[in-house]
Amino acid sequence: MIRTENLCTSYGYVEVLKNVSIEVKTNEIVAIIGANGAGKSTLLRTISGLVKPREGKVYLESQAVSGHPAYRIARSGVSLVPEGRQIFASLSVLDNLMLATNARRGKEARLTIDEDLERVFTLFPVLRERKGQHGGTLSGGQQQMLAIARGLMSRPKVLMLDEPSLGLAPILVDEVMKVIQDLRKQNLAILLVEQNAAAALQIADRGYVLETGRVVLQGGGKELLNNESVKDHYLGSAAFSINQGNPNR
Amino acid sequence: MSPDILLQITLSGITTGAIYAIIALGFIIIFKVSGVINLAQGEFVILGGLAMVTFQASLKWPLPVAFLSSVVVVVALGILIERLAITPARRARGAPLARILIMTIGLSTFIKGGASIIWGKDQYYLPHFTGDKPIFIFGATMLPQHIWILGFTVLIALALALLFSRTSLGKAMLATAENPDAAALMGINVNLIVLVSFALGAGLGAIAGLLVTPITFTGYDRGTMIGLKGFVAASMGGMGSTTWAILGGLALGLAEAFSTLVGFGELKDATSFMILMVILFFMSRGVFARART
Repeated sequence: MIRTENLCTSYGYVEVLKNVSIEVKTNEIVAIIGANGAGKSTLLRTISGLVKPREGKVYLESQAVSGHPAYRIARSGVSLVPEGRQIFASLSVLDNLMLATNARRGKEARLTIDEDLERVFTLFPVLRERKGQHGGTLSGGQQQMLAIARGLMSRPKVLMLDEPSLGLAPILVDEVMKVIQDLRKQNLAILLVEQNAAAALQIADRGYVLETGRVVLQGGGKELLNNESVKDHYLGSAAFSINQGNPNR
Repeated sequence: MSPDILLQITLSGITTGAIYAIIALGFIIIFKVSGVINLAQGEFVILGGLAMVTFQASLKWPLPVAFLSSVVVVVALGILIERLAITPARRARGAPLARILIMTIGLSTFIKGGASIIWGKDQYYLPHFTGDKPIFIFGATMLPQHIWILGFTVLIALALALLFSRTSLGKAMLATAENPDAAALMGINVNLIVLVSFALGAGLGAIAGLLVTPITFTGYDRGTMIGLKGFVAASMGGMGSTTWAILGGLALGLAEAFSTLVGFGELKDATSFMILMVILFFMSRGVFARART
């Protein structure tokens, strides 16, 4: 579904991504794990068009989309749920969801808006309860749900999630991960970026490990979960922080 | 002090304030959506009046046609400025707000020069929309043109309220104002929305100019003063919401009108700038806090 080929991205003189080649197929969850500053967010921002790659290509269904502006990439079916949620705080929950339908093209896609709205409200009932409330009045977890729901309202083929567990209580992390797992069945290619490597790899079919802008390791989700070097570098600290967050566990 | 005079001053303050309010709305819409403080806003006001002079007084077009044509001409100019000057400057990553601000001062001088070539250095006036027979209200007088000004202000306020609360274009503008990157991720063409904000800002400026020229005269070099008044009004409203811009405009109009009462008649313009200085001294962070790349 979506594929990057030797993607290189720089901020000024700083090279952030170096020859990153990854692929996500439909009905697949792929996790990108790595430390802070490894380039995970930059990878998603480059695929979504918010940042232009210096070199390399992004292909959506074998069509090159790199170099297109972000709004056009969104319209071709790539949806990014950005880091820190970035919901529109001054607009209502319903407005937030409806704004994402700007990315829908074609008459058929516009006809299913009500149906899809119903679907995300079923997925996140709390959003239905608060649909008239300003986005800024929601709690952190609810804002994350709104951000994911908004990502779905554009009716994407590819859903990219940047740190959806960030700042959430452990019980909410589980809930969000379960939702992401359920979404796999809906003809979506899911690209999940996480610092919480344990949580991400548990639901991922495959994963890539990013280190200072390079893919240093790739493999199946379970395979990476049991990999010694992944355990040492990413799972230990993540597991530690989970325990810290919830001492009763 | 007779109540008649107080009423008279209040009425004239409100009508002047309504004009400032319309100009302030143009400032705010452009600023909120694009982050640009457009100091050429006053030139849009003057060009609206001058275009009307050509269309109505010289070419003898009927009022509604001349009115619409003048707005269209100024909107077209706003679009041209946005595409040729503002967009390239915004695209230069990390271009500080101040650089674009200075550029709009340059644009205002440029437009002034163009206007002086087309219309010369004369002062022009326009006929009132529907005659200039004063209307008496409880001992105070108002001109029909004042009623037009107030009517248009109410109409514009309602139209903008509808735009931002009921239309997907308005919602896209609000989303772009709040977070342009997130808006782009929603499939919103942010550059197009910025263009729309400039078109709207230019159009509002032109309407203000069309409405006010019959009672104040106009000339190629009048834009700076009236534009700055609109900026003061917008700043009084905190450069934030449209409602506050309207209140800011009315407050400024009233402040100017009442300054004549306490013997400040000659210093009417100075009143505005004293208010601006107070705002900049004590609220400068509030006014300019939204620095963007």
